[in-house]
This record gives sequence, structure tokens and C-alpha cells, in this order.
Amino acid sequence: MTTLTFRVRGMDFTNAGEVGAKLKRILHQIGFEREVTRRAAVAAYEMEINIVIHAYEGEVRVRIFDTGVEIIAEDRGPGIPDIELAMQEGYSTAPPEVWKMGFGAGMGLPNIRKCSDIFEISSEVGKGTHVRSVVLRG
Amino acid sequence: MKYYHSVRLEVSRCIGCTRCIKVCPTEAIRVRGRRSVIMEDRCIDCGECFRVCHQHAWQAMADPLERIGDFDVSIALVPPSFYAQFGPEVEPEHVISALKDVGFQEVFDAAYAKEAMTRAYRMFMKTEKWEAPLISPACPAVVRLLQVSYPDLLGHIIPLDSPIEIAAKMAKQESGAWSDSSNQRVGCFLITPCPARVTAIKQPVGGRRSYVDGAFSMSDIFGLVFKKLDPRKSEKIGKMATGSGISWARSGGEALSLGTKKVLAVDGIHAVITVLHELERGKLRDIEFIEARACAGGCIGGPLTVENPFIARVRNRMLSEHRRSKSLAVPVEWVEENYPKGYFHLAGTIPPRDVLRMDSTVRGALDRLERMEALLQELPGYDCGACGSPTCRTYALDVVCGLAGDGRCEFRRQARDADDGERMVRMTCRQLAERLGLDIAVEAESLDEEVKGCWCSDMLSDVMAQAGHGDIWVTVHTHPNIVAVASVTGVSAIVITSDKKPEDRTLASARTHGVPILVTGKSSFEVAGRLWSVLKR
Amino acid sequence: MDLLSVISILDAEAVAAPPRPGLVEISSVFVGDLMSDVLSHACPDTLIVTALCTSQPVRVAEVVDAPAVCFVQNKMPQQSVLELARSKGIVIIVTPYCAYRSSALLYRAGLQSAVRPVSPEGYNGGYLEI
Repeated sequence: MTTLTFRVRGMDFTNAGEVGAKLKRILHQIGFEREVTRRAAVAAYEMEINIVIHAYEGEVRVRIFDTGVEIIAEDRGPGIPDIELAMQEGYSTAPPEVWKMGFGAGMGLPNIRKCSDIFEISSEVGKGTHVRSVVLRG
Repeated sequence: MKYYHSVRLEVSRCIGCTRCIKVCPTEAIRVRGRRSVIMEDRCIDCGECFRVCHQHAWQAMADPLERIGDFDVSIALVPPSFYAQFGPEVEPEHVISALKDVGFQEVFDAAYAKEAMTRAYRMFMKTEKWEAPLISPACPAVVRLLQVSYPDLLGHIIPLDSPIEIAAKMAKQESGAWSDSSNQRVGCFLITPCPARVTAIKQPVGGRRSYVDGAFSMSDIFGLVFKKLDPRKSEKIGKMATGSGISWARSGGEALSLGTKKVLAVDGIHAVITVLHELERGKLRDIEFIEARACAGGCIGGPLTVENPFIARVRNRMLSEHRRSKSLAVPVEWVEENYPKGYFHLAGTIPPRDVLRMDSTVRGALDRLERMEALLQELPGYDCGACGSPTCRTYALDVVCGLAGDGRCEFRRQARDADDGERMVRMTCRQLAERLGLDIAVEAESLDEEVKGCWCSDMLSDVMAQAGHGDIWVTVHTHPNIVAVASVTGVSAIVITSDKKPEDRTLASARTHGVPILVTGKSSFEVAGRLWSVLKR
Repeated sequence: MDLLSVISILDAEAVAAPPRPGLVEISSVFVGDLMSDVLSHACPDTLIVTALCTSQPVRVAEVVDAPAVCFVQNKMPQQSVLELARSKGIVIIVTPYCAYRSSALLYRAGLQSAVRPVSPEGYNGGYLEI
């Protein structure tokens, strides 16, 4: 089992997407199936982007097992008042300036859930959000 | 099957300087035993290594020019980058005439086929389903880069054959000698600006045999053609490209030819990587077509070209402007007729090449990943290359994959040595002699000095160069010279091992100079080994 | 101890080696730069550790049937030396450490000092009991 930790800063669009790309590369080197790699990379990517857009700062922790990948995103930020609403496709609170960069379509959380075999989310308004996704092999 | 590639190292010229390992885009080169070593299956033949090599140790394996004679009819396939190698007064027609004087029976303008490709691209984009952005299949080094490093992006490559393959196919069909009734053997030779093209010909992606029978290095043939150039001799050929096809030689030309604004042109392999990286991050979906060239400037910047790429670029631009035309030389009807027959399509798919796998099993790979991350913590992150691997990360990976010993990092070793130094037990020479059972042959003051280290050598020059004050010198020498060396370097004692008896003169000199001499029946190996274990707890 | 372990202990690199260096067995070490000394001590299972980076240690190794030579302090022999070693089937390894540290590491790993057999009668598997 290997743990990788990535620090993510809010509004840092220069490096946004780095976590997903790095994870993809590593899983590929390890020899995970392409589909598993894709799902894990997408989940990690969306979690990272969520932190960049919504939070002040956060961390994406990845644990790689031979049976799959666990990705945990934890941030310090405004939190989500209504998780059920946030889980709806197309619902977004992202500011308009990030739309121009192709983000904020309200697909982030639903996308993570779609890619995950196990998906958990908890949030405290004014504190931050915790998202856990597990992608299993075969 | 062994993977063929055309970039080779002339071992006798290589000095192991590490310049090439750092520029290799797929990290395919290591320095081992003061020589570069290439990991054949990772090489994409981009030629970056021989651009930076001061020793000219890297070479491309193109065909020898004598191969022109292998066929009854030899066709020279001239890419537009070749025209740009000559002065502004030299027209393509002069070059064609000179090539015939060099020994080719026929000449085919590859730029003409590039115009056919432009039309084929448009057909593809109009008639088939595709996901933006498309990547050009024209640069063989870029295609191979995707196979090795970006396998997930392979689906973006337009599944059409490379323009050079199409050119060779057209050239052969065009040739009068190419028919079922003719028994003549027709060979097609490319004048190539890059080694990647040589590889692509010897081993095309998709596995089918290439239509090109050989490749001559542009720099090899340049001189021959240059000598045969004659301003009075110029020959027109039937299928000559317009400015559009000619402009493919420089970066941006291919993208421009498509006539759409949603194109991106990138040149230079490292710049290409930055764009692919963005693509991998899910960006650039608004771009329809990416023209990526491994060489800075495009094909005119190829490692086998002769002219400075910036000058060649001007020449190419002037020629393509001069020959600009409203419509392409290739008739649209011809492409429309042949495209549906599969004339342009690649025979197979482009397979990924999983050469970066850490282990054959996932469990093994995970284990290695973990050890690699642990080792990385001990490496300085300078990416200096002194260990022979291009970066600290690659080095850590090499170590856990058994491709490198774990003592190659100078910085890590120094850090460890410093640790060892701190743990050293404080002890005088006399105490040490007692512990190890060394006999004191000559008494002197420095026996009561603290031992700082040890030097075990019978090469006086080495000791002179490296031993210092406070060291103990272990040797088998017995002659008086050792006393001189000891007093010059300031070592605190000499230990003569293996039961050797110091000469009387040596003892006398040692007494005069105040250099203590210890003797023992043990070997140098044992003395050194035991000394270490005493000094380091 | 097999040679691969020695290579790993010394953080060394095999620069001239037969296809399977792992099968070379090392049980004693001789450290020194005087070839006559090596000649009189090294045995058929001795690793010769030296700073003398010429063809001489290889020649000596051939004479005493020593399987391997280790050059210290990253001293890299000439190509001709490597070729000679290959042709004689002698492994050459290069360690970054000095002779002192190399000795220490090998001694700690339990290797013996090479001692010449005294006579056919006293021959004791290549070692003299001391």
C-alpha cells in the first residue's frame, strides 16, 4: 500500500489538474486496468478542481492498494449547506469567472460518484468538506 | 520482436557527460560506467540526444547512399524541407535535376502528397466520427511519444497513414515502371531530415510494410546534390505541390493548410509534451486539430538537416509564398474517389507501448512504488544527473527496479558519511592500537592524538592526495618513503600490516620525524575492517 | 557470499561481467595495491580490492584464479582493461567507497581476509586456520 499526498490551494488554476494527471501516470506505471485508472483519475481530478474552485486550501490523499484506489479530499472552506442539492447534476455555486475556464458545470460531485464504487461526503458549513471515493479493480 | 530504432551511440566517442540523459523526453538514456546506455524500447528517435551531444557520439542509422543501386528504378522522395537547405536562387526544379544526376531515375515531390493529405483530413473530419482535438499523424516521433508516454491520447491521432507513406504509394503508382507487366524493381528512397522517419520506415506503426524502401540522411546526400546543382539545368515534374504543401516543412504549415481557425501548432518535443499534458488534463477540447512536431521549427529543424532552421524557415516561407495558389495541386475529385477506398487509411491501429510498467504484477509494482517513495525522501531533488539517471525520481525508480545500485547518489552518500562521522567514537591512536592488538614499533607524540579517520592504500600518490591530519594510514609498504608521505600529509600514525618488517632506515627516519609506526600480522583488510567497527561503535 | 551481495554491499557497479555474475562465490577479500602481495595472498574465491586501476590486477586475478576485482573510489578502468577482463571471464566492479570503507563494509558482512594456503599438506579448502 502506498500513500500519496497532494496539497491543493484554492483558486490556483495554474496547477489545477495536476493531481489527476499524476495519479493517472502512476496507476498506469503500476499496471492498473485502463478503465480503473480512468475512473480514479477522473475522481481525483474532480476533487482537486472542487478544492481549487470552492475552498481556501485542502489536501488530496491517495492510497493505492493492489485491489483498488482510495482517494480522500479534505478542505478548509465554506462547506456545503445542502449536500443533496450539490449532488444534483448541473447544480453549481461556482463563480462565473471559472465557467470561462471550462469548470463549474455542476458535474463535479455527480461525476465523482459515478466513477466510485464507494462514495462518501460530509461537510460542515464554515469549516470544510470531506469527500471519500474508492475505486475498485474488477 | 525486438524494437527497432535508428538512433545509435558510438560508444568510443561517448564520455558519459549526462547531457543527453536530461533532454531525453522519454527518459530512455542512463549513464553507466561512464558511457551512455539507451533503453532501446523507450527510444522514440526524436534525436534530442544528438542535438546536445558535444562529442557527436549519437548517430542516426540511415541507409548508405549505395543502396540507390539496389533497384532497377530508384525514386527519390523529396520532402519540402530539403528545398529549404539550399540558397534562395536554387529552385526545386534545380534540386530535382541534380538528384537525377546523383543517380535517381525518378523524383517525387512529397509536398504534393501532403496536399493530398490536407484534402484527406478534411474528408475525415467531414465524414467520420471523431473526438476533438485531432492530432496529426505526420510526425513519427510524436506518434511514438504518444505510444510510450501518452497511450490514452492515441485515440486522438487521425487514423490515416503518414504523408510520407502516401507520397511513396503515389510515387510508385505514378512511376512508369510500376505495373504488373513490368518486371522492373522499383525502389522509393526518402531524403529524411530526422531519424524518427527512418524508424517509421523500417517499422511502421500498425505493422504493415512501408512503401518506402529506404531513407538517406539529408546531411549525407546534401553535398552530392549541392555539387551537381547547375543553374542551367532544371527539370519540371508533373506533380508539383503548390505553396500549401511546401509549407508543411515548417511548423504551422500543416495546421494552416486545413483552413480552419481552431488549430494549434506546437513544435519542439518538450513543448509538445506541455501541450499533451494539458490535453491529458482534459483541456483543449475547443481545438479541432493539433499539429505537433518533435523538432523546433518543424521538419526544417530536423537533426539531420544542414541549414540553420531559422534560415531554412525563411527559405521555405519565401518558396511557399512564391508558389501560392488558390487551389491545391491535388484534384479534389481524385481524393474523393480514393478516400472511400481506404487509400489514406492506416492499415491497423496504433498500439500503446507499455514500456514504463514498474513490474509485471500490480502487487510487485505497488511494493516498488512504496520503496521508491521512501528512497525519494533521501534524495536531494536536484536532478543533477550525476548518478546517471535523469532525475531523482527516475533514479529512485531505477533503484527499485534493479536498474541502478542505490549508492550512486553523491549527495545521499555524503549525508550518510556525515551521519557516520557524528557517530564516531573518540579514541586516540594508542587506545586503538591496544584494542586492535597492534605493536608499537616507533613511539611518537601523535599516538595520543585523536583518530579522525583511516586511509587504506599502498599508492603513495593517493595517500598524498587524500589522506589528512588525524588519519591512520594502513599500508604494506616498509621503505623510508612512507615516513616522508606521512609527515607531509600529517597522518597521525602508519600501520604496517601483513607481518611486514619495516626497514631500519624507515624506523630511524620515523623516530627523527616523530611519526609513529605500528605493526601487525593482520592483513590490511582486517585492520581496516576492525578499525571501522571499533571507531563506529 | 555471492558476488551480487558484494556488489550491493559496496553500492558498486559491475562494469565488466559475465552474463550471470550472481553465480560467482566470494568468501575472502584482499585489499591492497601491491600486486606481488596480491599474488602471494589471493585465493580462487578472493575479491581483490584495489586502487590500482590498470590491467595488472586483472592479470594477477587470472594467475591466482580470483574471480573478481573491485576498483575503489569510482576509479574507472580503460576500455582495454574491461575487454581484457571480459576475455578472461573476470568480473570487474567499481565502488564509490575508498579502500578503508570498502574493507569495513565487507568485514562487517562477515567476509574473511584472504590468506594463502601454506603447503599442499596444510591446504585446508584454501584457508589456513588461524
